[in-house]
Amino acid sequence: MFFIIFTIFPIYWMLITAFKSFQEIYQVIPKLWPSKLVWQNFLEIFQKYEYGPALWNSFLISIVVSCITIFISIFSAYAVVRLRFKGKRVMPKLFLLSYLIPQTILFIPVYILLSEMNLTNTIWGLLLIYPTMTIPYATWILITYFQNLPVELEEAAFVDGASRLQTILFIVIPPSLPSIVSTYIFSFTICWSEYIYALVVISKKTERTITLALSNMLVADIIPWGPLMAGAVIAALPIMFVYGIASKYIVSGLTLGSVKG
Amino acid sequence: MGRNRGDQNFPLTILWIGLLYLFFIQGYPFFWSIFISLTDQGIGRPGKFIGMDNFIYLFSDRTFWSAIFFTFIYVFAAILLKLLLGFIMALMLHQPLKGRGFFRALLFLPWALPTLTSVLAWRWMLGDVGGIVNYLLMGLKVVTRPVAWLGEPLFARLSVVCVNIWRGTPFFGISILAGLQSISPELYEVAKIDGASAYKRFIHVTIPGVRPVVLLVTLISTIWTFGDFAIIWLMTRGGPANTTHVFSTLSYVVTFQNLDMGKGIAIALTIVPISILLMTATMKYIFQREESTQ
Amino acid sequence: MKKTALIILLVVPLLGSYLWAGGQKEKTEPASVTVWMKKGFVEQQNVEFEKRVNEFAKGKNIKANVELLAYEDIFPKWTAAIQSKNVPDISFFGYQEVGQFSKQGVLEEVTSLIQEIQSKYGKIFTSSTQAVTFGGKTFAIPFWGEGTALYYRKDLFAKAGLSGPPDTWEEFRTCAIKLTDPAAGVYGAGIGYGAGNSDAEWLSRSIIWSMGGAIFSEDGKKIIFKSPETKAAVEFIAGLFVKDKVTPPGAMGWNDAGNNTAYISGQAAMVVNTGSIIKALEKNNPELLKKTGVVVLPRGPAGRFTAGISNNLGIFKDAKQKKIAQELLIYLMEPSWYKEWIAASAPLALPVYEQLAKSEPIWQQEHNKAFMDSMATFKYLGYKGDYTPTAGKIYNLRLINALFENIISKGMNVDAAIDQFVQECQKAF
Repeated sequence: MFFIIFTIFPIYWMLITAFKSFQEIYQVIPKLWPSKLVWQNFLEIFQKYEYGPALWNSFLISIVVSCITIFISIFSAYAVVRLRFKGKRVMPKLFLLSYLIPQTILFIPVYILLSEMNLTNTIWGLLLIYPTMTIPYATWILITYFQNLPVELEEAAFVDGASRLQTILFIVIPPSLPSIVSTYIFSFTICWSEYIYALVVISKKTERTITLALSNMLVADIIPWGPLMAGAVIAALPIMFVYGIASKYIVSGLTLGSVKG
Repeated sequence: MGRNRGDQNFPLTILWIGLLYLFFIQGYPFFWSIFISLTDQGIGRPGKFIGMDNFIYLFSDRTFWSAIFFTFIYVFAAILLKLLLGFIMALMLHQPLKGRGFFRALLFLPWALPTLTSVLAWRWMLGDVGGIVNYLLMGLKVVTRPVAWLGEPLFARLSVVCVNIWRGTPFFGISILAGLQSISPELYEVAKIDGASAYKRFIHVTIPGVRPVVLLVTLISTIWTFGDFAIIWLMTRGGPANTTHVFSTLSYVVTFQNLDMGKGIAIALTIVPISILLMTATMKYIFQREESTQ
Repeated sequence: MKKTALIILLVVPLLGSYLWAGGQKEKTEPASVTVWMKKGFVEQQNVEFEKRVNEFAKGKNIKANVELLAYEDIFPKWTAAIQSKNVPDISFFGYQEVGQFSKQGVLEEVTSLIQEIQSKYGKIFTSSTQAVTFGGKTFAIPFWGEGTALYYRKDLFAKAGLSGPPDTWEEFRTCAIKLTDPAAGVYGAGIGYGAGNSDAEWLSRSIIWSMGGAIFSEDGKKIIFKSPETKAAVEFIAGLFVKDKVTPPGAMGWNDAGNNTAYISGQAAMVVNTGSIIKALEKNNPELLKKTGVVVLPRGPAGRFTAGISNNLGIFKDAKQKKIAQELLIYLMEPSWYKEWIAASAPLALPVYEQLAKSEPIWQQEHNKAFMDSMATFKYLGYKGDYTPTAGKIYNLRLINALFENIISKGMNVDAAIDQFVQECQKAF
């Protein structure tokens, strides 16, 4: 119970700050509820801080990268778990190499790479490098999941004459939907809140992602709490939306997952 | 095992593509970093090869050791609690409660919100002007004077760990939840028929069922937490008096503010051997062959 | 066979589209000039700057890329740009960065350019030029300064029976004691320390210098921090926290927003800051602005010192459009446009032309004058010598912050703390 309060309280705080006026925010004694709801901050973030294009960019990137990630990781994980081939044990470990070096250092050579390909300052550039953050995790989660999947279903399908591709699409994927969907959500979230690669690659105002738009607000030593928190609230909405839609699949995935029949 | 012929091409091809892609985009940077750490390169200035000198210098530096010390404590404390709380969270959300979907989405938010906003909000809550945490603590008579959450070394360390836990628990929670949901209900039924108590069912069905997932997320989260930058940087910049510095923040200061790339990258690379060790140690348990658990 | 066919089928179009995307970018970029500018607090400043650069570009029939970036964000971008040689033509630089980057050899020398500008348009403050000149060569054009002044609550002063703002640091202390009223949550001295705090680095230096102490010798090669004057200054500052208790309770964890928040919320009766608070109050809290007075920093036995902030524009050596960049700089320094631009963000920004400071009335206004006057007392990192990258490193590592955190939070003995500080400084050489 305490845990829930601990988790939710800061979010509640951010939410009400988004609705407070400047004076109220700067009071020494904090108020637990704004004295009157102010919409100014939300307007400001769109007008003054160009949050609109940023939202669109982030959304586009997150969706596309997550789709690519799911595509690659489903098949890669399947290959690792079900197929026999040389280097089967080694390969998945290689996948995790990308996580070893902190991004705060990795971005320099990655940027040099992008610069040589002339992809700096574009969304294409980010689309190229973001999957490196999501694919290893996605693949591994699906590996652990596929391991749990009974082989009998697939063998039954082979006996019936299905090709491997058909088997994967129709027998393996449906019961795995809970994992696939959560993996999609994680992947989406990682892209949604990524900061350092976006910062270095993107300079143009129009190509900014939401994390850049937010950090661009921290201009002087006076932090615009109101608009900043408004930005956070808005940033949370798509996530909850995607999660809400996804939850339905998680539930239905369960019922499809039974081994009977 | 079923078929093994050429018709396994498609998944295998994708696997290869994935690997090649990662190698291309991440491999070069990886080797570049190792190379640079062995030189005395500064930003914009060509460097000469100096072997292990950077590392030797670092190992005699007080600030470096204090950063190592705190990084380990930070990771250990944070991972332990995130694992525990995440597990509890997953178990809670697994129960068929009303409004479950809404709760799931809500409890997921700490991890989903952009770090900048949530960490700054925490800063403010723990601060003195308008700092809601002190306000509530004093109001509930838990403390008599405001606590300097960010000013005293001990409290600063506590606060940073706390925020990391706040932010990272959903990652564990949601992943473990997916793992819980993948355990076939049949296994539970069979156990019940055999007369196993709820506790026994937990130990013999639940735990083995989620073991791979738990190990995996612990491993990945540990590696990520070792490299954690944003939370500490935005909350304390490594202070007070360099007590909350971790590898990544120290590396940042040295590389980008002192323009000393060789040393900065050397700092960042020191965690790599540890991460590799962890990886190899846990890989065995995650990657099981089909025969073991079923 | 089938496998290779599949790979080719999937990978080639992918690669192709990327090469195409990269190629497109190159194609659609005619001659252009790229400018990275620090995003200012006052929106008008940003808008006008962009307009001016675009005007220039139109006149030359080229494209202009102006990027307004938050200061903190620029550091990693600079590194990535320099390492990949994909640099903007003109970039904003703080004077420290000019020192550091010029030593690394990545900045274009602009000695003749600055002479040309001064002969055409008027003299620039010597201290500003000196801050970016090394070995006789200038590496950037000073573009604007930021003054620091003492803010004080006129109403609280009147209530405490004080006749006016303090003129010496000792008076500052006595005023702070009289103004402090913990029961009402008001504290006289809104100063604090924390690793994220650059305000404290500047202020501590200002106080130490005004009492005769310093970190560097005049040739910049020795650390002369261990002196009786410095020790007196350090004890004075620490005393405000520990003995006199005139600082807010959470002050030992402040970042740069700490003192502003303290002043705006009414927690602190006096703070030392740049003009950002004035701008924020103008927009959001005019009543508090009316009760606010600003005055130059108090002086000490050795005089009045203000740690200077100087913002410059420079050209990267690897820039593709160096000649155009130089012409653009001249265009931006043209006084008739410049004086309007800088007036829009007074007092946060201060003009670099001596003549403008003297002749334009805006700089004599009540809330602007103190900031403008502070510019004459500017001294930069590296005092008593010139700026050196070592001085910059010491600032970046926030060693002064650490010194005071050790004494105030950890209770370390003053001499021991000073010794440790000197040790750390030696390592930075």
